[in-house]
Amino acid sequence: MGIELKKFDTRLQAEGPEVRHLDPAAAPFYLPIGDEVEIFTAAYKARLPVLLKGPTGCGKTRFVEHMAHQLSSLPDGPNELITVACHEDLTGSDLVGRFLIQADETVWVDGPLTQAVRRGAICYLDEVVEARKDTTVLIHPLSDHRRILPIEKRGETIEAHNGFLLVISYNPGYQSIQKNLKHSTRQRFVTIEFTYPPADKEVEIIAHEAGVEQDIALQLAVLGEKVRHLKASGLEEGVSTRLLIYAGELIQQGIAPRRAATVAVTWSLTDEADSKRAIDEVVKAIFP
Amino acid sequence: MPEIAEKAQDLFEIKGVLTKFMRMLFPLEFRIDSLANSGPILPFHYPLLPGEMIYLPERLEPFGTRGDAYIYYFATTAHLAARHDFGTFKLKLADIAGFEERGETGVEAIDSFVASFDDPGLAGALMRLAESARIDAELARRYRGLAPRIAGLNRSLLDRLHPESLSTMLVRAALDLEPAGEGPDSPLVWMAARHFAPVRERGADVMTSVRQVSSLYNWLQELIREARERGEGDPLSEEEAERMRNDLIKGMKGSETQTAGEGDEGEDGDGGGEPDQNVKMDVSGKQSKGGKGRALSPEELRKLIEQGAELKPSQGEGSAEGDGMYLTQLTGKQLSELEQMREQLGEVGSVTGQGRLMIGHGRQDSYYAYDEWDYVLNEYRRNWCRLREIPLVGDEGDFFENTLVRYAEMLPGVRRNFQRIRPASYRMVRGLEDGEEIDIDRTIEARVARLMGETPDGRFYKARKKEARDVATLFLLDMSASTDEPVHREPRKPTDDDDTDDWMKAWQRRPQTANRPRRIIDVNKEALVIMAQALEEIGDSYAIMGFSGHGRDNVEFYVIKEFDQELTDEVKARVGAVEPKRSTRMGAAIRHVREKFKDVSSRAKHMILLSDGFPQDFDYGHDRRSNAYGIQDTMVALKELELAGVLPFCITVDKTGHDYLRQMCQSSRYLVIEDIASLPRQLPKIYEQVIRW
Ligand SMILES: Nc1ncnc2c1ncn2[C@@H]1O[C@H](COP(=O)(O)OP(=O)(O)O)[C@@H](O)[C@H]1O
Ligand SMILES: [Mg+2]
Repeated sequence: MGIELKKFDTRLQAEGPEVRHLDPAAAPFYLPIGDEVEIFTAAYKARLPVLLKGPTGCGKTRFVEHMAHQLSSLPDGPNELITVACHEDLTGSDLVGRFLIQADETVWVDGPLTQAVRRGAICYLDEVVEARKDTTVLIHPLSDHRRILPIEKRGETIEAHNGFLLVISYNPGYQSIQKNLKHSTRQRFVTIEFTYPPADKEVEIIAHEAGVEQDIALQLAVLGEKVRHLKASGLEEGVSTRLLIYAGELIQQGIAPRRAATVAVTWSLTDEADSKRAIDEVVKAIFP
Repeated sequence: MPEIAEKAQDLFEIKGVLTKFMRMLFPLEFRIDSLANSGPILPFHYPLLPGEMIYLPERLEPFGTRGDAYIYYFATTAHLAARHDFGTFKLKLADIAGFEERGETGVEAIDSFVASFDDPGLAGALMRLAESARIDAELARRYRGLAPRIAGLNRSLLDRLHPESLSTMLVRAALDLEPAGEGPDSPLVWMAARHFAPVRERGADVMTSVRQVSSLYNWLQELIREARERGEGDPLSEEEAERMRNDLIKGMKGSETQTAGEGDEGEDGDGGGEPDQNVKMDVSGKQSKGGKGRALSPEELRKLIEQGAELKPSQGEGSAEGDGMYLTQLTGKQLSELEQMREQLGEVGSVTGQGRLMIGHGRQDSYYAYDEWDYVLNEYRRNWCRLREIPLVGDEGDFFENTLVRYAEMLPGVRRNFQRIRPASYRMVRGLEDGEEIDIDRTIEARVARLMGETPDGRFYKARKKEARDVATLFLLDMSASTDEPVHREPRKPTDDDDTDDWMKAWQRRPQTANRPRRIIDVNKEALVIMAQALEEIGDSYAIMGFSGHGRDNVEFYVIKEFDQELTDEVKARVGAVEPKRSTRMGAAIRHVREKFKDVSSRAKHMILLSDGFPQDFDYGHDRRSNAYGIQDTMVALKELELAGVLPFCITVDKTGHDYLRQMCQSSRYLVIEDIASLPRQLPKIYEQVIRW
């Protein structure tokens, strides 16, 4: 094994796909907000690709994981869940695969998308607009009736395994215009919109995830609701459920609630002085 | 909080933070503006007015415990915004027993509810107090971090008031604060707190406040009555004071009650005979706030608060000038002190301009009480005038018909003109998020806001919107004795002992009915007939009313046509029946016009006043020979009306009219008609020109 390969392996660890073997009993906790479970199930059965749209930290990833596990019990259900967190440097080749030099021969290594297509996995491309433009060329033939993946470098086209489904996510909030999801792409997907959960559900989620008392969870959810009002007056993103859970986890570790909210929520959200102070006053209003 | 230094806090430093804070807690589009020369104001002192502005003191010197000045801004902002969120303005008058037929909602409902008490000032104060108690309690429940801050702040603010004054005790009872000093609370506070307790409970809403205000009011009236019954004896001995105190506190269950016989306050010296229970509680003088109403502009609101709402620190005040009644030193003066309390509580919120309907035993005993502006004292005289609506018995309807015949040639032209008035027009609507054009002013404002680090208002588009004509006009006719003058005769120059409105003399000079010449009143009536015909064409809503009277206790108001009445035969007959009466107490009549507009929802509201001379009455001012008092009062009344959203226009047939109309209103808002006889021809044209919509 050459030194290059080792390097490559590290890269694969850091940015490569996360492969989950599925088992309904191992499905992570997911609290349905609307009819998204039914919609996703139906879409899967019809093999319609799904676009999950919504701000960061509102449960999209958790939802896909949950659904993949649940659906694996179907006779023709998914065999795996392969998740790729897309980023600016992610190219089409990263998804499809590439030739590697092994000793003195070149070996083809499937990328995560190709693996999913071959093995009948749900492939979740998280924040797909972040990736390079050449990825769309791959997505299109896979997301219409053809369900094929052209592997240019090998002059080969493979047909998707019956269990395969493409799921992508997209946060319309903060992308620049260039990073908007193109219409030609969008229109190939069934879209499920995610928003922050309503207060009562969010309380339940926070309590479950952070293991805090109902009371603390309620205050955190109220904080979330209040801070999200600020979005109308200039805050880029509302506070995510994830951040509220973090605050809860800190509290669970013994940090005072006001302090926990400040470090997990206020400071994570903004660097703007007035907003920071205002959010902190709201924190002080909510937590005794 | 180590970061808060004990120095003065300026609003501008934290305005951006406050705005964001408020918008997070309540997703309402409020803005914050500053009040000059104001100390910290207890929230209950703020009038219950909706509106998009929250007014806060421009700068606060340190007070109370550490950081109070800073905390004040946040707690007060939260409180004022919470009124909206917690439903203060969701009151429906029809929900209150006894008001089932009424349609008022929101502030109007609050106003009407408050106005239904004999002492609206006290009732209004109690309403604000109950609401502020309710809102504080709800805020404390929802925002547990805010709870100790609000309580601490209220305590600091209350420390600035005299601890033993009754009003302070009431506020303390309402806000559920322990006494400042040692020892148990006074039984009075305890009793009052029981009345306030329900509004502090979970689930209380504005109706709870309404109910508790009624019970509190009755309790306090009893208290006051008892105090009054004690008479004006000598200062009481310790022992007696103790007994009285206990009496006072026992809740005044109306035990051994004799009727309170006396009740003249001296202000009522020349009154119309029998003392009136209803006005007994009123203290004359002392009060001068601008006009008030829901059409109040932000500027006026600001003035209102600035003038009236600052809390006076209690230090260095002798007992004579004290803040109210001291339970520990009850003297024979309880009554006046209770009234002082009433005043302190009522200060903001009960502002003049609005009449109070005083219900008597029969229709005749009921009247509207109106304040009058005394320019010499530079203050309102409270409840100074009594105005009654007098039913008018119609004629046979011939006057109306004869007038139509008389102007038969002119009428078709007038009608045609009115038919041409467009029933709708396009108007520019500003402050839109999206629209046809960018509104430069708003864009600049937004830019400035952004540069100042505030959050700009993104609504800077404007667009043309089609809007239907929606006008209501009240024609107010001067029915004073002087309108009995024939039109073609030179009006007589007033001399020292010649009073144009002296109805006795006018009456004596009156020609015999047979073939008397056309009088000013006749021409005015004719003008109204033509006007009514024309208005029927365009469908504008209109009302016709007249006024006269004799003295401040007898202002007469004649309703010829209400807004919601059709032009029926009865209405026509009433137009004919209009005859010269007595004096011209214009201010009170104009204030009543506002009352008449109370249920009118039209977008554009106008009053057209037809008169033949300056305001005049035998007791209209300190000096009979001067008409300055009447003119000044009328000017103020016109202003109040305008503030209430009704645009006045004055037409006079008095050639010397310029002299006083110039003082009373802007030159664009009045007209002197030289040729009296042309009024019927001119009035429709004037209407066309002056009515804005
Ligand atoms: N409906 C939900 N049910 C259960 N957990 C949720 C739900 N929504 C959000 N969460 C919690 O929020 C966290 C962040 O959600 P995640 O799925 O990572 O957000 P996203 O992928 O939208 O950025 C999850 O780890 C989970 O703890
Ligand atoms: Mg995610």
